[in-house]
Amino acid sequence: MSVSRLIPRCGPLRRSAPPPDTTAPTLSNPADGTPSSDGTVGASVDTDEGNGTLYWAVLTNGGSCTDAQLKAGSGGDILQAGNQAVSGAGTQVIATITGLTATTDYELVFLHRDAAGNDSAQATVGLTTAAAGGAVAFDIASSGEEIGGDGNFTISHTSTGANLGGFVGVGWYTFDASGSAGVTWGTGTPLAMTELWDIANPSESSMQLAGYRIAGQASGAQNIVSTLVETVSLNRHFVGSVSLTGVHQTVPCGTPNTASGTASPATVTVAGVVADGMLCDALMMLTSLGPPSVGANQTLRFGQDDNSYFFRGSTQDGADGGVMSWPDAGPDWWSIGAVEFKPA
Amino acid sequence: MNLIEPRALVLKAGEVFKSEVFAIPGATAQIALLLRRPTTARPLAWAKSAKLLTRLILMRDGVDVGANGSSSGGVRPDRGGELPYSGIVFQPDSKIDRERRVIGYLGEDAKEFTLQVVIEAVGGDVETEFLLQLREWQRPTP
Repeated sequence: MSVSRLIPRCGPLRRSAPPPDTTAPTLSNPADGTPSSDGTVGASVDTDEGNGTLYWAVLTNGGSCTDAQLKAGSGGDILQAGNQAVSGAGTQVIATITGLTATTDYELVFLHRDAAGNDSAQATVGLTTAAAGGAVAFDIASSGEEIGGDGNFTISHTSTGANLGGFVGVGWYTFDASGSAGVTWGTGTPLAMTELWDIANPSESSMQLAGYRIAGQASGAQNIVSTLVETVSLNRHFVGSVSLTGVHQTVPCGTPNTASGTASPATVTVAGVVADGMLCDALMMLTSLGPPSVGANQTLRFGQDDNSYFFRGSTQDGADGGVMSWPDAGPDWWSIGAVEFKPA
Repeated sequence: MNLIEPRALVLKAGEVFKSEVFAIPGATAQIALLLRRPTTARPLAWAKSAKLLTRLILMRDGVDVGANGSSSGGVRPDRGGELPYSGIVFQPDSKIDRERRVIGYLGEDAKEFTLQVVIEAVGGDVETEFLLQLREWQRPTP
C-alpha cells in the first residue's frame, strides 16, 4: 500500500475567518471632571477597548435612559448628549459641558459601542454644578513700559479674591514687524496665558497690539512677563494688566474682537456680552494731538504715555453693551482689542 | 521728583550697580529708570553686544513687587531719528474710579515700602548716564 493512500485526501488550504468579536467593552472610573456653575470640564471614563464610539449624556438627577436613547442622543431623561470616536484604550475625556443650571444635581452617563457593534454597560457618575458667583468685578491693575529694551519685560501684579481671572494687553513699536512671543503670569512655575489677538496696525505696521487672558491664577504678588519676538530694533514695549474676581473658571472669556483705524474714535464692539460679565480692552495709539479720552461707559485701568505713543486699558460692565470707545483729536493711528470675561 | 539725579555710570562686563535702598511714599504712582543710549551725535561706549539688566526692587512688607527689563547698546532707530534713552517705567497696582480718582494703591497701609535700583552689565562694558524718577498719586480731597 502506497503511503499516499494512507493520507486522507484534503482540499486546498483555506484561511478560516477570525471568530466574531462578541466581547463588549468594559467601562470603569466615570468621573465628573471639574464642575463650574453651568457645566463641567474634563469629565471622563476609562475603557478597555481602543475602537468604536463613546456616547455620553447629561440626565436629570436620578433619571435614566435606554442604550438606544443614549446612542440617539435624545429621549428618556436626557438633557444634552454627545459622542466621540475612541482611538485607544484608556481614559476618554469628553468635551466641555455648558448650559446647565448652577447648584444643581445631574447624572452623567457613558456607553462605549465598539467597532463590532458590542455595547458596554452604562457607567454613571453624579454631577453637581457649582454656585453662581454673581457679576465679574474689577480687582486691581498695574502697567509698565520698557523703552529701547530687548523685548523681555516683567512687572508685578498683586491680585486678591475668588474665581480670579486676568487680562494683559501688550503694545509695542518696532521697525521689525514681528509678533508677541507670549505672556506668562505667576511666580515659580508661571502659567502661560492664552493669546486673544496679536495684530499689526494695517496703516502703521510698526505699531502692534496683543491681548492675553488667564483664569485661576494664584492670588498675591505674581510676575507678569511679556516676551516679544523682536529684540534688536524695539522702541517701546507697553504692558498693562487687570485682574478680576467672579470669573468663570472653565470658560472665562467670550469671543474677542479687534479693530484698527486712522479716524477718531478708536472703537471696537464685542458681541454676545452678558449683563454680569466685564469687558477689558487695550488700545495702542500713535498721534501728535494728545492723549485719547476713555469712553463714557468705561473706566480707565492703566495708561502709559511716551511722546506720541499712548497705551491704554479700560473695563466696562457687561450691562453697558460691549462697545469700547476712545475719542481723541485725530487723525491718528490706532489699534484696539477687547474681550468679555464671563461670570462664574 | 528725582530720587537719583542724572549721574554717570560706567560698568565693566559682569559688574553690578546697586543703589541705596530708598524709603518711598505709599502713594507712589509711577517709577521711571531712564538710561542714556548711544546716538550718532552723542556716542557712548555701550556696544550692541553689551546688555544692561535693569531691576526695580520694590519691597512691600517683605515681598518684591517691582519690575525688570534689559537693554542692549548701540544706536537704535526711532521715528524720525535715534532713540536717546532706554529704561523701564512701572506703575504699581492701583484702583481708579470712573472719575479717574485713585481709590486704592499698592503702598497703601504698607509697613515697609522701599525701592532699590540694580543695574548689571553683561556681555560687555557699558558707559551711560541714568536717573531715577518717582511720581505720587494725588488723593481726592474728602
